This record gives sequence, structure tokens and C-alpha cells, in this order.
Amino acid sequence: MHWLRTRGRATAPYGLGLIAVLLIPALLNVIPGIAPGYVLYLVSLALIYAIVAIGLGILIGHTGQISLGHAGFFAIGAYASALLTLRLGLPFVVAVLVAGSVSAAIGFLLGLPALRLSGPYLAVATLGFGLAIPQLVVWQSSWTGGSSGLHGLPLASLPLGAFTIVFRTDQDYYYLAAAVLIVLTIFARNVVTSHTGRAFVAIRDSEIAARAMGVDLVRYKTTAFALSALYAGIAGALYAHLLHGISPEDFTVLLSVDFLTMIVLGGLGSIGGALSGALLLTFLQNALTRLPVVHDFKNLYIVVLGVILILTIVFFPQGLAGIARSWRLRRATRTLDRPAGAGQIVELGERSGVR
Amino acid sequence: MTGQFSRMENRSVPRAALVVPLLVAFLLTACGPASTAPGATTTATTAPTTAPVVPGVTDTEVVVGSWGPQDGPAGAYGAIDRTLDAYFKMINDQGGINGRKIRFIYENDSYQPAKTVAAVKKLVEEDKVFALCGGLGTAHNAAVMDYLVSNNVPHVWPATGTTALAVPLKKNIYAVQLNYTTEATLATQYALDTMGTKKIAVFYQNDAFGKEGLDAVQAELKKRNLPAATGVSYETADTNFSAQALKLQTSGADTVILYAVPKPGGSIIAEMGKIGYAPKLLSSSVINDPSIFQLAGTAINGMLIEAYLPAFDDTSNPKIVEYQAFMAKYASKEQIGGFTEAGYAYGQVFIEALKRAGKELTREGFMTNLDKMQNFTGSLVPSLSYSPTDHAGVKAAYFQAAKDGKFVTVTGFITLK
Repeated sequence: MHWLRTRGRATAPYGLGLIAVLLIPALLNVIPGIAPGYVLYLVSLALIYAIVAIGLGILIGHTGQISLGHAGFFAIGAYASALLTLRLGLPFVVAVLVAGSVSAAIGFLLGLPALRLSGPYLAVATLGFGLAIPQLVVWQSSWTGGSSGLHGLPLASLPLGAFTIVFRTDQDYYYLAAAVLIVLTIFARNVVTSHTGRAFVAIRDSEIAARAMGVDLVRYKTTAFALSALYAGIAGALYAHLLHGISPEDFTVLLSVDFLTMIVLGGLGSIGGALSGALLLTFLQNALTRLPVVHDFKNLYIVVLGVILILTIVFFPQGLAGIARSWRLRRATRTLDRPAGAGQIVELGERSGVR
Repeated sequence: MTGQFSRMENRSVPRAALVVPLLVAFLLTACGPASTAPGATTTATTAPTTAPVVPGVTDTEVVVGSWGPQDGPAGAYGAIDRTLDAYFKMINDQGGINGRKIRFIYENDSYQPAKTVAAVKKLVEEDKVFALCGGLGTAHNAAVMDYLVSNNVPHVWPATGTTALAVPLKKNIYAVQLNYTTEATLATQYALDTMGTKKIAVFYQNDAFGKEGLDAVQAELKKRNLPAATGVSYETADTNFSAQALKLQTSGADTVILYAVPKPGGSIIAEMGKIGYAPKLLSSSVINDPSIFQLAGTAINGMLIEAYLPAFDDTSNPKIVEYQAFMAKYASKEQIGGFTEAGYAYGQVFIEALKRAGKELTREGFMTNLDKMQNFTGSLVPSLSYSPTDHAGVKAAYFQAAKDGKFVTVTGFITLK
């Protein structure tokens, strides 16, 4: 988030990001030997995961509330949108918004026990939630399709007055995912820099101190849960329409762990970190599955991934965002030689990590 | 308090304004390339020569793809693709087919449909495979079915017993495995007509696989105007089956049909033995794993199990001797068992299809010739036939009986009545 903070630089990353978003498909078309459709699908998937990671980052990184069950919210969003478009024939846009709202409402409810639980207890409660959702899907098979899932979802479309944009190709869907991600990134950034965001950070750093200062714990904890569930729900809806189908096997507890890994890899308490963590992990996973399969050692890629994560935690506990931050701080002190301003004090405060 | 949390900075640039050019941009691009069809059709347009370029085919090579889990909870299935790979190596050592060597690329999807889609897109668009063989998983096949149909990529022997792949017919998908509907119908007919069964109960896994089995049993009973069978289900996570055993006992059924994977299947048989309930047992082929005998104890003796491939340890069968010799030479690190036997059989069927497609290899020619396959007996699959309107594959099965820690063949092949 701080890469947008300093006023004079604020628009530059947006501009660069926008140019990158627009150029990626064109670049893929001229690089020989790669299939644009395949890479764009992967990028779209990574962008969708990034939406979840940003929401989860608000909950874990900013508010200090752990969740090991975000695959559950992701599944709720995916199933809600799939059922709305497939069974009720609602437009894609409506389905995505309703899916996000349903997920947010359930997030709000899950936030209530979080008022009394903390640390490992909250982790287990959310883990249970994440495990329960796919089971509920299987149980309610008459309308969720059970283990076989729901398939043949209609193409995503966006009505604009007289026109309707239909997202048919991998490239179309990539632009859709990028647009949603950009809007939600800006929204998340505005939230965390608002007084709500500061209340989140106050809760994270000390609940007692936050209460003493008049922060309403009930309100802000449930808000943080609802907000991160909203992100996961919208992402789930996009995921369902990217794959044109879903099944309970999409939403295992491993996916929740993946989401957690993304924000740890990227750096807790940083929106930019959540984003880059999601992109990096998705591509890392895909690149590592291309390692040769060695007989009697079939899980090599999981081991390599584990080693990368351990190295990150040991040497860069602040993740990618921490690396970028220290690099920028060093450059700022070297070139400008100015005393540390208020912004940098906040940044140093963030180094204390999550409690 | 408001002062504490008020905004520390003044953002002069309205961020929302930055979204507008993006919206315009993707409006333009979305209208542009949307008209071009995705996938393989675009690859053909780059053909410089007069002969049409067939994806994955040169004069000396044909590229074949597959996917399946090589790690994670379902990683044991990975043996299928590795055996298939070894089989194609053997074929290449023998000089290939019609002058072409096979380059086999199998992707690891960790049994996650999102990764299956990525894997299949890579295989089709980047590796430009000619065809697929043995893509694994019910949900996973469902996730890529429409994509493979619209790109017209032949897929021989998807590794799942779901009926949905062949019914309704998909021009490019050739199922082989005995599907669960046919399998359960055969079991029901055999119980009623040969075993003298009066009342059936079904112990099934609460998912698409188990329910397809239960539905087929009920349909057969309904056809004969017999009362419906009692269905008793379990979840894959269950570990205690005493309640289900009691329910089966109180149903009063003299025959229990099992649609269960090895672990719960073995446990329920042991539980039924414990409470002194000894119905006749009939099971789907998926239970076929050596571990079942330790789990079930002596109560399993006499249970009939359906099979459509010959027993992998029946060395009196020359085809099995051939399979075991192949395993010793090309896949010595893999176990002799159901998974590697399947992988070997996939290879045999695919190679036969490739042979029949001839020297001028095209996808259309490949499928047209495969549609003409009648009663092919040259593989572990006892008999395989296709027609332009039927891609369902195997429709016959035989029964083995559990006897002192082994399955022994007790019937010949049986087909639907």
C-alpha cells in the first residue's frame, strides 16, 4: 500500500500498472513458443487469487485476525454465482454482486465468534468453516450438484446500455479479472488508509489499547471479516465463470493454505504484497509442477515450494513488500538525505508485524 | 476519536477516473478478438504449405498428452500416466507407429480442476498435442469437456467411469472404462437372476460415483416392478461404520451391493461380520485393491466383485504374462496392480487407434477409423467396439470371488439383458 502513499508518486504506479495490464496480451502474442491463451488463463487465475489475497490481507495483515477457511468464502461466492446464472438465469454482473454480498454476510456471522476467540482458537474455528463448506455442498446435492459439481456456466457478460460485452476468449476474461482487481485494489487501499483501516491496525496492535481509545471491537472485527469475505466471494464468482464449472474438489483446505501463503510471501499488512504474493505463488506452483517427476520422490515440487517459503520467512520475514520497502528506504535516505517523515514512522511501525 | 482516525493525507487525484481508460480499453479489445474462435483453429491458419497442418504431427513424431495427479491425496493415480509413458517408450524402442515416434507429455494437476484446465490449455495450445489419452478424474474431465469438444481434440480413454462423457455422445471423446450405470445394472441382474436374491441393499459413497451406482440398481428394480433397495451412504471422511452396518442389517436385505472405495468398503464388511450379519456381497470394480483383505478379515470370503480387465496377477493369461514382462523391463519401479494394469491397457488401445489411422494422420481420420473399431481383442480390454453413434466403450464384465486373500475368477463375461 505504501507504494501509493507519497503524494507526488501516487499516480505513477497506477499508470505503469495500467500500461502493463494492457500490454501483456500484446506481448504474449509476439513472444514465440508460448500459447497466449494458456498464459492468459494462468494470469487470470492469479489475478482472481490476488483478489482473495487482498481481502485476506485486510483481515490478517491489518486487523490481526487469522483465517484458515477462506476457501470456504471462495466456494460460497463460486456456488452462489453459478446457481444464480445457471438455475435462475440471472445476468453475470448481478450474480457476482449477490455472490459477494452473500459471502460478506456469512463473513459477518463468522466474525461474531471471532470476538471471543483469538490466535489458535480462531484458526481452528475458521479451519472448521473452510472444511465444512465443501461437505455442505456434497450434502445438499439436489441443488449444488453434489460431488459432480455444476458445469456449463454461461459466458460472463457486461451490459453497457445498448451493447453487451461478452467475455468469450481468454484475453477477454483476463481484462475482466484485471478490471475487477484494479477496482478492488483501489477500494482496499482507500479502506486501509481511512479511519476504518486505522481502527483495524489499532485492534491488531492491541485490543485493549484500541478499546481504551474508543474503537468499537464488535463493529470493526465483524467489518474486517465481512470485507475479506466480500473479496473472496467476488473472486469465487469470477473463478466459477473462468472455469465455466465448479465442484467441491476446487475448494479444499489446501486452497485456504495457499491463500495464507500468498499474503505471507507477499508481506503482511501490504496490499501490494498480497497482490505480488498471489501472482508469484500461482506462477511458482505452475513452474514447479514442470519439474521432472522423479520416481519414488513424487512430491518434489511441494518440497521445493516448502524450501522457498522457509527461506522467505527466515531471510525476508516481511515478504516481497518488505524487500521493496527496505530498498526504497535505503534509496530515499541516500538520494534525498531527508529526516524520516511521518510516513516512514508508520512504515517502521508496520515492521513489528502481526500480533 | 474522529481526529485519531481521520485521513492523514489528501488524495488529490480521483482514483476512479483511472478506471475509465481501462474500461474503454477492454471494451475495444473485447469487441475485437472476440470474433476469432479460440484454440486450435488459429494454429491451422499459419500453415505455409499446401498440406493441412495437423497439430502435434510431423513425419517423424506425434505428440500425445495426458493429465493426472502426481502428488497430493490422490497421488497414487499418478502410476497410470507413468506406466503409459513407459508403454510409449517401449513402442518407440520398437520403431514407433507408421514411422512416427510418440512424444508423450503428461501434466500434474494435483487433482485440482483449476490446474487441470491450465494443464489442458498448455497441452492443446502450447504443446499442440495431437490427442489426449487417459486424462484422469470425474470433475476434472467435466471441467475441460466443453473446451476439448470445441477444439475437437480426440481424447481416448478418459480415466473415469462416469457416464456423462459418452452419453450424450461427444464426437471426439472415446470412453473405454465400464461405466458405473452399466456395472451396477449388471450386478443387479446377476443378483436377481443367478444368485436368487430377494431383497437388495446398497452401501454407497455419497457422491456422483456412489449415486450413479445406487440409481442404476433402483432403475433395474423398478423395471421389474420390485420394491426399491435400501440405500445406506457414507462420506469419504467417515472412519466408523457401525451405524451403517446396523442399518443394513435392519433393512433385512439378503444381498448388499457395494459402491465404495477400498477403505470404507473393507471396514463395512468387517463391521457386518462383527454384528453377525452375513448377506451375499456384490461389489463395484473400484474396491479392487489388496488392502481390502486386511480391512475386511474373513467376512469378505465369497464376495463377488465386478471386473472388466483380467486379474493383474493371473499368470495363466498370456496377456497378463506380457503385461508383467513389460513392467519388469520398462516400469520396474512401479507396482504390479490395478493402476499400472490400466495404464498399460490405455497404451494398447491408443496405439491400436494410431495404427488404424494410417500414415496420413489427421484428427478426423483418427476418429473416423476409431469409429469403425469392432470387437477389438488385441488389448487387455476383452472386447472393444465403437460406432459413430456409440463411444461408451466396454459394456461387459465378469465376476471374481474373494477367497483367502485373493480374487479368483468365477464367471465368464456377462452383458446386459
